[in-house]
Amino acid sequence: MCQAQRGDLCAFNRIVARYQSQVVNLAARMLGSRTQAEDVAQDTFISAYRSLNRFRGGNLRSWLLRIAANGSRDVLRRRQRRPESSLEESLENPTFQPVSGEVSPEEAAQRNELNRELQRAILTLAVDQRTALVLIDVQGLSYSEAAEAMSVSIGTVKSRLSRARSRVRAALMERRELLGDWMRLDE
Amino acid sequence: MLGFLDRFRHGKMRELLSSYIDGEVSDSERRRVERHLAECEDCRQELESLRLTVSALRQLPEIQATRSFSVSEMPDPVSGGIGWVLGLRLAASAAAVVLVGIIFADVTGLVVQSDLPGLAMQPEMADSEPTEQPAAAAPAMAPAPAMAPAPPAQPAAPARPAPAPAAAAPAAPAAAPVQVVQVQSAEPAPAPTAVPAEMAMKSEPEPTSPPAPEPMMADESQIQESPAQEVAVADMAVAATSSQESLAEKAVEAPPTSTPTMLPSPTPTNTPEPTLTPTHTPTLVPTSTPTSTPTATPTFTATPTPEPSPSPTTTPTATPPRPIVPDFEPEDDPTPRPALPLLQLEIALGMLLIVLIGAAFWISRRDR
Repeated sequence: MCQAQRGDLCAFNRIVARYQSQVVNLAARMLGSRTQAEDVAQDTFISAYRSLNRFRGGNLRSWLLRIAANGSRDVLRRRQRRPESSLEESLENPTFQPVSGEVSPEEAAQRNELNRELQRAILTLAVDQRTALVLIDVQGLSYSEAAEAMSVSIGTVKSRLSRARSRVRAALMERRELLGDWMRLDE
Repeated sequence: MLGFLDRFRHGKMRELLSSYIDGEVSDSERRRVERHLAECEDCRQELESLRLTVSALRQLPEIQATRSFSVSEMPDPVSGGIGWVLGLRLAASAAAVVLVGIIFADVTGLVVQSDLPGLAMQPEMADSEPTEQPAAAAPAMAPAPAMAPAPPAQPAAPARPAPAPAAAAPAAPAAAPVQVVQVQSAEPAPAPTAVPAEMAMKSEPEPTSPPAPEPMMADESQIQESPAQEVAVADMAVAATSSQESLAEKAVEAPPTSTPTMLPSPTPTNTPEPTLTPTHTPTLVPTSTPTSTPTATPTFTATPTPEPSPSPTTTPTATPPRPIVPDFEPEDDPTPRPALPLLQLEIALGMLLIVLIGAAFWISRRDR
C-alpha cells in the first residue's frame, strides 16, 4: 500500500488484482447487472488510485468497498431518473456450477432458481439495507468492517441488516418449496 | 394492550435474533434471547427461517469479472485532478484579491496618488488638483498672498520666471551676495519677493530642482555676458514664454532625453497652471526680463549643493530652449485619457475569476 501511495503502479495493480472480485461482486449484487458492476469497479479503482493520498490507514478492503458502494449508489440514483429495461437477466450468468457427480442437474437447476429469487429479493431492498446485507451475508465482512465501509455505527449496521434479512426471509417464505429443496440440498 | 406489548417485545427480539445468529450480541442480550426463545415458539421458527435465509445468501455464487481492472497510464495521484483543482482555486483566490484591491483603489482614489504619470488617472488628477497642488508643493505660498499680490505668483510658479525666488532661496546662502542683489533688483517687488524666497527655501527645497534647468541656462548666459546679450537673452526668454505652446507641442511630440527625470516630480505639472491664471499674467510681463536674471543665479549655484539627479544631467547638455521644455510638457499634456484601462482591467480580472472558478468546479465534479 505504501508503495502504491508513492505512485508505484505495479503495487497498486496488485491491490486491484486482490480485491477486484469483491468489488465487482458487491456492485453486481447491488445493481443486478454485471456490465454496470464492471463499470463501477473500473471507476472504483481509478478513483482509489487518484485518492490514494487520502487513505489514512485502516481496512483497505473496507475503503475500496465503500468507494464501490458509493459508485453503485450513484448508478442506482441515475437509474431512478432514467428507468432502463430489465437488469436481472445480466446476473443469470453466475449460475451454480455443480461439481460433477455431486449434484444432479435437477438439483442444480433448483439452486439456481433459489439464487435468482434471492437476487430479486435483494434488489427490492432499500439501498442502505441492500448494502449491509450484501457486505455481511454475501461478501462475508464482519460487522465492524461493514460499519467502516458504510461509514456508520455498528448499531446502525445491525439494524439495517436485521430489516434486510427479515425482508429476504419473507420473500423466500413465499417460495417455500425452493427453500425446502435447498435445505434438503444443503443437508 | 397486552397484544401491543407482545408485538413490541417480538419486534425487539427479532432485531436481536439477526445479531444473535452471527454471535454479535452481548452476554446479557444472549441470555435474554435464549430466555425468550425457550418460551416463544414463533420466535424459534423465525430464528430457524432466518438461519436458512442467511445460509442461502452466503452460498450465493461469486460473480467472475470478465476483464481486469488494472490501472495503467494514469496521471500521478498527487498531481492529478486534485492538483489542478488546488491550483485553479489558488489562482482564483489571487485574482479575487487583486480585483478587490483594484476596485478598492479605484473607488477610494488611491490609484490617483500612487500612479505614475503614464497611467490613465493622471489627467483627471491634473485637472482636479490645482487647488491642492500649490499648497502641497510650496507651503510658502500660504503666507505669500498676505504680503503682496505679486510675490505669490513667484513661488507659485517655480518653473517659470516665478521660480526665481524659490530657486534663489537655496542659492542665496551658498552663492555670492551679488546674485541675491541681482534677484532683488530684478524683481518688480523686491521686499516681498525676498521673504517668500526664504520661506520657500526653508519650507521646501523640492521646487528648486525642477526649475533648475530653465534658469540655469538664462543665468549662465546673462551673468557672464554683457548687458547687450542680456537683452538678447531676455528676448529669448520672452520668446520662450510666448512660444510655450509650440515648445510644449514639440515636447509632446518628442520629449528630450533629459526631461524624463523631471517629469515624475509633481511640481512642474501643476505649478504652471496657477501662474497662467489672470493674477499672474501681469507679473509675468515685467519679469520677462528679470526672469532670466533671477532664475539664473539660484539654479546655477543650487546645482552643486542640493540638486538630486536631474540637474547634473541637464546642466552640461541643456541649451536655453531645452530646459524650458520639461516645465511645460506636463502642463500641455494634450491627451487626457479616460480611466478606461482601469475599468478594462477590472472587467478582465472579473472574467478571469469566473473562468477559474468554473474550471475548478468542473474538474472537481468530473473527478467526483
